[in-house]
Amino acid sequence: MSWAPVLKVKNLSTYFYTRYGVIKAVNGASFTVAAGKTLGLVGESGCGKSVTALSILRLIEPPGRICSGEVWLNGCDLLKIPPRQLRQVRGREIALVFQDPLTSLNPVLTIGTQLAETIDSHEEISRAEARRRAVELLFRLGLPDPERLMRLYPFQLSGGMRQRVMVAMALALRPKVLIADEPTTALDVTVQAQILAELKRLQEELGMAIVLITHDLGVVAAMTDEVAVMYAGTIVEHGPVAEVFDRPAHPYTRALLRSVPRLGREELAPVEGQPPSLLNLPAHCAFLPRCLQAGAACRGEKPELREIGPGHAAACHRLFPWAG
Amino acid sequence: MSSSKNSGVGVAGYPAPVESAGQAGTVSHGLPGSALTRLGQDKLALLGLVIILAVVAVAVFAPYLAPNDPVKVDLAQRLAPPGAPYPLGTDHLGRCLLSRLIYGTRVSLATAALALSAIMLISIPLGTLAGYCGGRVDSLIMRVVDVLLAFPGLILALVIAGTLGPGLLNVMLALSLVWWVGYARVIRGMVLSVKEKEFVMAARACGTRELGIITRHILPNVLSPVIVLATLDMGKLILAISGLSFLGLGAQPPTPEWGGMLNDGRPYLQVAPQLMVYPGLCIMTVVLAFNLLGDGLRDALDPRGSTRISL
Repeated sequence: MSWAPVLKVKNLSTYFYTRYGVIKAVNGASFTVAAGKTLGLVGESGCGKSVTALSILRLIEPPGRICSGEVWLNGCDLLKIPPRQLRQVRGREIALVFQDPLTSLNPVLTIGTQLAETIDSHEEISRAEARRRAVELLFRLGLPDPERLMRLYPFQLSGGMRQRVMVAMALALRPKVLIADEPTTALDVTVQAQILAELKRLQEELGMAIVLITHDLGVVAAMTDEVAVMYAGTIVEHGPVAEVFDRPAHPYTRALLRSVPRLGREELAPVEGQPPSLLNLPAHCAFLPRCLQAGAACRGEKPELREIGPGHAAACHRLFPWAG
Repeated sequence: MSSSKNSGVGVAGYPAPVESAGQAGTVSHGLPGSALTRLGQDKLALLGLVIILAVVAVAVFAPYLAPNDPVKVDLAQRLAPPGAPYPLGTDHLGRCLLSRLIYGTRVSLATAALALSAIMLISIPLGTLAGYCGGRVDSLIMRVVDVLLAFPGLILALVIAGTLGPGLLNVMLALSLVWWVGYARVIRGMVLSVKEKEFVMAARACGTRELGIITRHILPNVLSPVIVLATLDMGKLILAISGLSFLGLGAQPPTPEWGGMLNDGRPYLQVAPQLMVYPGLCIMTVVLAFNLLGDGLRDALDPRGSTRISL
């Protein structure tokens, strides 16, 4: 499989202009995803993961604004194309699965109507053909009795079923890139495993790239090829998942990994302190106040992401000894 | 953006019946079936419905039901008491009171329905536009609404109808111009809350057109309260039209209209009270019926209605 990047995000910045000041939700984030591969985007709540996802599809609404950056897909910059063309890209080239399946489906339309509409809003096919394709999709996602399901309303389904419907809807047009924004956070663990397994299977079938946004490092380990760690709106570490998990370079990544419960380890080590206010980000490294290995250099300018190994990059002045 | 999405999520794996109701009471959950069942259990609402259906039937079959021509003058039989050729007697021009009441049903229902349609035609696009676009469009539309709301509705309608000149069409026009504001305001508010829902964002992420988002995702979630409001207002509109006709602005003679008939019968209250009593009873019955149905609909479509315990 080729490693050519299908989605390339460069220096993306999305700010929210509120009455209290400018909130720098995403602040110069860059990453790439290769076709058929999965990138895990991890970080704690409020670090800009979801805003990144919405920015890629230009779904940011006022007071938010995408201030700078480029999102390259198929040789065109999604942040610059006209709205008409953007509408073609949404759904067909990049699809988005939202976090909460309970609110992401329209309560007054049946599953069938919503699925079929998604399909025929992009393709010139008959209603009947669209519905036939919808049934097939539901079947492929392992939903029982898809014909009957088509006539049901969202409230008649369980959370897991609804999320499968959401995934079906996202995959309806065989997008090249699927952005899944915490697709399983609202679900229990067994359902989560099923949905992730189905995502993986469909990825192999369709050869699409997945950006999996999550705060669950277990999911990242199981699902992704690469991982990008986000902190205060910036990517602080990026690399192949095994590499990052085995040899985490950035102190935040290390702290994050230590805070995950694991059998046989006595105590959890939470990341001490609070993430910085995005209202007035410091000029120096945003992680400095919580960092255990900070030094004098850290008070200087903000560290850039730099290569520390094959495909492995981190943004820190004082990398862990064996790196850099 | 990602925070607080988790709130209110019930137990996964259970088809929670009122998923989004807790977050916004305005969003119905698309349940016409059970709403109808609940409506069926409401005896008063059913009574209202039966009366309305009966009145509609009377309006439709008026030519077959009316014993006489409603506008035929029989001066020899002026102010006749109830009797053989005229079951409810005659008015001051010797016209059959019963026939006029029966034909009056047509006028009242048709005018109110037409006015209501006009109100919907104005308020739904404007309210949706204001709520969906926001910003300057919203400010502009809502300031117009505020100005109109600052006047008592019926007085304003009276002024407009008076300026336009008497006539049923002008009364309808005047009422629509005054009445749409309340709806526009309600619709705007609901659109505002629905457009923030995640399913709207999801639809947009799928590449749905803006128009599709409005017509397929937002409006269906907004309409059920509007239907209730409209049903309740049907009664009020009939009352308003009768009122304006009573003041001589609405239906012009010889058109049989309940409000106008009340006015015609006023001088003869002492000698022929039936001339005022029956039109008044008709207005009251129809308005009451619409109010009963409207109340019933409101209860039936209330998302929390399903949790009500029947005693």
